[in-house]
Amino acid sequence: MQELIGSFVILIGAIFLFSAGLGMLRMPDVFTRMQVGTKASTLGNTLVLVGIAVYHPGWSLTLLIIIYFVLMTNPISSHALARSAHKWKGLNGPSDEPKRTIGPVTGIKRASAVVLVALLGVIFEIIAINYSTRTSLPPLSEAYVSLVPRELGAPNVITGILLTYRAFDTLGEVAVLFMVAAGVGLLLGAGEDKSEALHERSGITSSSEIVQNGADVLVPLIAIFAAYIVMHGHLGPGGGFQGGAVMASCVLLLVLAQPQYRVELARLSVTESLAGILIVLVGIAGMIFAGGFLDNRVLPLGEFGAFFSAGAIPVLSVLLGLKVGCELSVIIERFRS
Amino acid sequence: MTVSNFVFATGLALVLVGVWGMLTHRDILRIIIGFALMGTGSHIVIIAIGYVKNGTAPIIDGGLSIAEAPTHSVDPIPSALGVTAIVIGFAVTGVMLAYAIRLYQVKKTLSIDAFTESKW
Repeated sequence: MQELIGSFVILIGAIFLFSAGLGMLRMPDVFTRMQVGTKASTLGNTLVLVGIAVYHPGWSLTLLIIIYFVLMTNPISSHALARSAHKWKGLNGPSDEPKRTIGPVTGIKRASAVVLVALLGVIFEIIAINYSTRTSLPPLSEAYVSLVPRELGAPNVITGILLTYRAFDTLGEVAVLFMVAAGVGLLLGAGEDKSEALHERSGITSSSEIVQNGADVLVPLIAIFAAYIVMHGHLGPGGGFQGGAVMASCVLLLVLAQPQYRVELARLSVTESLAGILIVLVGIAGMIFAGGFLDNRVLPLGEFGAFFSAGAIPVLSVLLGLKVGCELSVIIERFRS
Repeated sequence: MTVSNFVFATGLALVLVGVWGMLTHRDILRIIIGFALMGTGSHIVIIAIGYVKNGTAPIIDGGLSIAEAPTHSVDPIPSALGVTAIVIGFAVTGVMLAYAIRLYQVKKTLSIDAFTESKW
């Protein structure tokens, strides 16, 4: 009976989410689309979460927190969107210049696109038909799954792979992110003075009270959540990349709520470089005191599943989180101006 | 047919939609959206490949002991690759958007037809 009620509530939620998607496609302009995307999807999300709570009453508290976040963030974000859309319209005035829409390609190009996509579809269909769900792990994965808990002392196998066995890859990945931050700066930073003047002329000097208060409430919570994700990476789902992304969303919210707020790029780049140097130093310590570059056994493994355990993995996770958070914040700041 | 078959097919379908969007639109922003869709589809395909029947997340906790982990968990390697792919996809999208802004500043339009310099 309980399962039936839970499934029913989830089904109603799914119907609302479907209507949100349909409305996005069918509604004519920004504001009607926005109200569909906010109202229907907020209700749909909440109903799905309530349905899960009926299924698993033990998860109720967690789900309640998620519902709180949904109810806080969805209306505020759509309010901010609606405000900026309204300003944009006011800025351009009633449409005196004809709408310049860029239509899709036509003629021979379209025909060749159809042929290409059809061919690709045939290949994919063959792949999809020959795909069957695996019933056992391949040898390498089996080795990872049994080695990570025993050798590295980390319950989360994926974090173990990312931060020890393939940590060199992760280092390269962070280097790619760094290059992107630098490249975006190079592309967009050139006309900084000009764009700033434009910024002030367009009249976007303050955001509304609702967004500001919402940000005041949410920023500390999101920051705590980011820290939790970063610190918890070796024990459960999470890790440096995910936590860093959440941290950057915090910065994004601040930037949205307070247009005067300027991200201090110099400090961010110092923090980011320091984190990078420390990651490499931990790696070199692994070469001297343990099995190789970025070996996590430079620190004691500790008790399996405890907060301070798994050697250097939590340390690397924190450094990685800081580095990713800084890099993404720099990218956000670059895109703003 | 199991859940992972549907997930696999959904990923491939998303890749197709992305390729279609990239080929048929002239607005640079829409081309970027098509590219992002393609990337998302490939992430879903990667995750579907890693699924093992009746497997759970490869995290040792109350639901999965060390002894039964090799037989009851999904493949961790595609998940690790998925994290990498998401980060790189984000990076590529960021660079493309920066280029789009820059191109708009130069030509005041986002139509790909306006950029003929490098056409052969």
